Amino acid sequence: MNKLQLIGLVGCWLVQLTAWAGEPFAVGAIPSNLSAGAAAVMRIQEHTFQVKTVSEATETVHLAVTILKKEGQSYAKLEVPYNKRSKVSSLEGTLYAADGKMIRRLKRSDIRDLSAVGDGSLYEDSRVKEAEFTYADYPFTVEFRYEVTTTSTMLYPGWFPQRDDELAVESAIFRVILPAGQALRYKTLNQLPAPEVTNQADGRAYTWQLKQRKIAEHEPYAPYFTTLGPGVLTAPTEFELEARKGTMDTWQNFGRFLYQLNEGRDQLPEPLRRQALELVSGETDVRTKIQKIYGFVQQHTRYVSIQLGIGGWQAFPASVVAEKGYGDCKALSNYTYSLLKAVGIPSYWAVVAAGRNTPDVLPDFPESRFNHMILCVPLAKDTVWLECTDQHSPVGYVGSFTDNRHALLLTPEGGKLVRTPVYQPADNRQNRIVTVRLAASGSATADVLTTYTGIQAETVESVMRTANPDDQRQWLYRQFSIPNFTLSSFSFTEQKNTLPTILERLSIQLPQCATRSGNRLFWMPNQLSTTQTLPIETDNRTAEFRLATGYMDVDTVICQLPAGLGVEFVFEPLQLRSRFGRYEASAKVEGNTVKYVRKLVMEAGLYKPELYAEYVDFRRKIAKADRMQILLKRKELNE
Amino acid sequence: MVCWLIPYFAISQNVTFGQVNLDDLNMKVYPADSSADAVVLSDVGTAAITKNDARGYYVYYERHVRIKILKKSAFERATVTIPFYRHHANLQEQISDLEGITYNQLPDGSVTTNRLTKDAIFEERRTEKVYIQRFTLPNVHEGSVIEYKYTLSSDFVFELREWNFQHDIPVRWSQYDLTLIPGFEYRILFQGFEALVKDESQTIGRDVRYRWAMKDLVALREEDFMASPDGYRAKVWFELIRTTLPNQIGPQNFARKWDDLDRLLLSDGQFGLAMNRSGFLKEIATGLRAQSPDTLKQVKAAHQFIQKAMTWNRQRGIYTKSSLKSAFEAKTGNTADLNLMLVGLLREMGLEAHPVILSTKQNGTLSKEYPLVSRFDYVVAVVSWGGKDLLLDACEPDLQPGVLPVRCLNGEGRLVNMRRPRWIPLTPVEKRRESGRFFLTMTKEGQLDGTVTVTQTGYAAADSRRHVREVSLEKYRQAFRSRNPDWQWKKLEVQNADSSSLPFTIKGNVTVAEAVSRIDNRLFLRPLPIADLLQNPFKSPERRFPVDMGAPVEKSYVAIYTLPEGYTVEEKPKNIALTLPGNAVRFTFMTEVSNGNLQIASRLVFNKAIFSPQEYAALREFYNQVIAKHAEQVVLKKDQ
Repeated sequence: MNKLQLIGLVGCWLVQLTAWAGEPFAVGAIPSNLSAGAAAVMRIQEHTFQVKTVSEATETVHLAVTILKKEGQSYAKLEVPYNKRSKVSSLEGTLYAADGKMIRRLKRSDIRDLSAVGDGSLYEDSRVKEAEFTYADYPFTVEFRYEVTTTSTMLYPGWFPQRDDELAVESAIFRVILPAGQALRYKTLNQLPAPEVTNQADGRAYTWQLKQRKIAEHEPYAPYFTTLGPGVLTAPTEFELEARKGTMDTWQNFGRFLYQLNEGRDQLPEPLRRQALELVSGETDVRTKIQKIYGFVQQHTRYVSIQLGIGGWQAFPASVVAEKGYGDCKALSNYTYSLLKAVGIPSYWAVVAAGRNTPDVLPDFPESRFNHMILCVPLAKDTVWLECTDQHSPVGYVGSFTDNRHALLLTPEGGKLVRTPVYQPADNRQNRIVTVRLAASGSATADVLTTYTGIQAETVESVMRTANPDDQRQWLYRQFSIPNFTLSSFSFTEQKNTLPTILERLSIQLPQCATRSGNRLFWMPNQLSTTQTLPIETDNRTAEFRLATGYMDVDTVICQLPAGLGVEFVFEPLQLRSRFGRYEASAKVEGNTVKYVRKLVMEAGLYKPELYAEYVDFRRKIAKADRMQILLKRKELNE
Repeated sequence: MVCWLIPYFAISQNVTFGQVNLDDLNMKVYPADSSADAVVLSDVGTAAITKNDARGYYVYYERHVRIKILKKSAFERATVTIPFYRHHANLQEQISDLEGITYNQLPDGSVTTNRLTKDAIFEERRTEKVYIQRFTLPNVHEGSVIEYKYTLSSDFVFELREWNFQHDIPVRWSQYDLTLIPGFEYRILFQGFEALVKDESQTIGRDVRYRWAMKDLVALREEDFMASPDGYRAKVWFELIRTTLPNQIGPQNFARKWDDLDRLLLSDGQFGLAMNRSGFLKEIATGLRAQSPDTLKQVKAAHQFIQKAMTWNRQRGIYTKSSLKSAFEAKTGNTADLNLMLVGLLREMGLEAHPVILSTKQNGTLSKEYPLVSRFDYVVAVVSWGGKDLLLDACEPDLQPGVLPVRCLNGEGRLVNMRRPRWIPLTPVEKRRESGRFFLTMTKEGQLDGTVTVTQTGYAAADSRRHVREVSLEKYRQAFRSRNPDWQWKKLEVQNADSSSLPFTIKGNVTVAEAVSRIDNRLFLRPLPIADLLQNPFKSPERRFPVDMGAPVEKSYVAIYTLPEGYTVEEKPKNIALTLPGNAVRFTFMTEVSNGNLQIASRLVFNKAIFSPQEYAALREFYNQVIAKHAEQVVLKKDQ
């Protein structure tokens, strides 16, 4: 005990000494090659997470960042999230000038206590403490310290000190301390070395360090985790959430915990139970039954975000959804589960890390990073997945929000990690037929019929459903890069299908569909499906790249030429092939019509960095091929 | 007092809570706007200043809203947020008597009602003093009618809440009643293009009651090139003129003439008095003064000094946060801190400088009829030089003295001075200017090589400099490259990114491998591929609100091509010159061939920044012709 106190004292004295010996944050002390290209330099980051018991943990953070220019200003702001189960204490901040001299300290009144609830949410338990320094003289340094204590140990912190591509790191240390005898589960990423493990008086400590790291540019299309820089994920073996104990060493155990949290909340009011049975009575096909139940849910409920109940992990009982007609993803999944159960169809709740840009969980590292619940209905030969918060989806379609990733099924036997459906290029289609009537002046009118399916239908579907006609018109104008055009009329219709399918009909006027020059008209047949932006070229790519969604576009353009105009030149059919996909474009003249056909198939996948240049080249060739012209000429002058 | 108010209002309301109209429930489409996904059927509010012994004066608000839900996309309207303030026990707002009902019609024609229950009501503390109450109504479907009502009592008797008649969905009926008791004198102000169908006032005892109503209001939707939809919203708001309260000695005036307002501001500790305490700048002033005897140079030096020394914290306002000295030490502050400091510094230098208060575009139009201090949200400095007013804003590091940021170019600003106050027009003196020079050599294979120089001044340069600061020079260059993906830059330099007094210049050597199509013995070239002039920015055929481009635009480009040997120009775009009435916009496009060189010059000049909806069609068509001209191609033919 005495010894400990002594160490404490020495530590104290050392801190004072350094403060006095002075100006540790002088900008001159940063090695000049370290800060090259950086907007800010992390001078010190000491991040300690100490698990005291299964129901108490403390996170202590001390950091100092030198902000070199305005782009780094975001580092002058500190945001510490907290909720009902956690408490932020001893938040301090100090501002230093370039020479390292202190300018001022954060006052209590400078710390803002704000709600962190999204606007779309009815209720969430999330708040944030916020503090910021503004100062005009770059460079300057900010230093922050704070401590968060929490009673929930379900979530351990991850540590990625260099996740921002404009931040250099002078020194960063991450330490996790567990009660003696316990082992930490962790997963290091992007070449972070193994930790130093020491047994100290207060437990077993795992320590990682990063020193002298220059900035690292983010590369486009890089998979999420590779953009974070060296770092580590950590997770508990045993944890507690609002007095409920669980284990997370395996997906099975973690799944069991979540299952037990939601178990027994499936009682339906008797009239509703009978209504469900009536709905499927006489029906023998299980798919049709599921479709009817799902349709019923879509008709009778709406999604409202209310993150109540055991840290937001427990669903409202099905009876509450029956009464209110709304619920969050868990409540609506559980409601559907209960209705299916009532008609004798077993299903499983499935938690996922949803969102188009949300990183998937890593199968070999069980942790709590799910943000959404869907329902999984296993059938004899395959599986039906239900997104219960969507009032329009065809039964079984989950879309880009939860496709192609892991889902943890919550079963009475525990969790089972499985994969959600993958949508292939042939599922995600854009089929476009354009009929052009060209006038000798170069102006034209055109009818455009586009059929969108699968993931390619998602945007247009949301425009169709949520935008008013004014906004729909504006949206359509933004979709095409034709120099001048007027939309005479448009409509969207939905087609019943196993995948979302939307038909878009447009009538457009193009005052300058072809450009005239003397006796000639230059006509670009593909004006609607051109590639707008090319991937940015980068030299010496280091990260793999990911093309998230495969898709297929087919365009057919049929142009009727006016009398007196003939074709002077048509390009040869063109085919491009690469590992990323294929492209074909051809044009044929038949009497006074020209028929142009373009087909593009892009494959999803994860590709090696050295293939990136090939990918850029492929896209560039497509962009060029999309601009191929056909030359028309007045006939009378030919003769 | 509240007791006898209620019957009066109950009689006058034409919508009774709890009683739904079957026609509304049957409605499938709102006839006046078939696109609407929801309609406010009725929105009725009352406000009354009142008093009791325990609490003193307070405002008693009631609100009753009824909405028809037509489509699923409007379901979120069933989740309602009511903000309120809670400063401390004696200065706060309270919501009570919150009730809500959802009505649905079943296929058999019967009507179900579901009431809002307590478990669907949540209170949330947003910031220190701002709270919200949020609730969601049950069983909402397509076709539902929802309604809710609540009362809110507020200690903020000096700031009556405003009433928005118009919303982002159509409103069938919106009505507001206000009761003022003796002791409070408010000015009543209206905004928007919609007419009142009721505009009544009646004196009852010593109280005055007002009633205003509007009906069949269109949905207010944002359009491109629109400063802020709020500036067009139909609303009524209130400005305190005077209070005569028992505990006061005599009436307290809150400015009613412009002179009063000037005097009030100049004697305010956070405006005039703060500005006068500029002694701490004396030494700096002497130093700056010594740099040059020239007045303009001195003004520039002072402007630049504050721009460099201070960071604007993005907060607008006409009052300083604390003293100028402490802002100076912290090196940060709001608009008033920075620009009143600039006035102070200029005065310390012996120059005649004044503050000019104004209302930014986001804040809306200012009415010169009403001297309302709360309508102002920005202050800049002015110095007279060479018979002109030189307006200065130290918040914007990228603009020259005399040039205000676009947000400030809104009507007129008031020069606040005891003896010679006046109005100063805030019209753009600078443009969004870009010019380009292309010197390119064309090979027989159809490749272009040469140099490109793009020069920006005025607002275009300021925008680019801000862009560079926000994303870094390298990323700016990347973005510039991606404007024309076919162009391979051998060298690309950005000059003067830091200096606001020199033009922002982008210079480089470029190769375009296949800029020119070759067909038989002819070459075809689109001679001026300027990304901005490839598409008409005015897409929509109609326009409801004025087009506000911020500042007038000027773009001019010249390309000089050295043609490959053995080729001559067979066809080229014809020269044109176009103008809009009043010379509001001018466009010229000229081509010339001489000594084997092809020269193209294009120039587009706007002389104003704001166009009325009536001018829109002509503006759009004008742009169409500009785009069309830029799309025309040059044909080169190989000599036989």
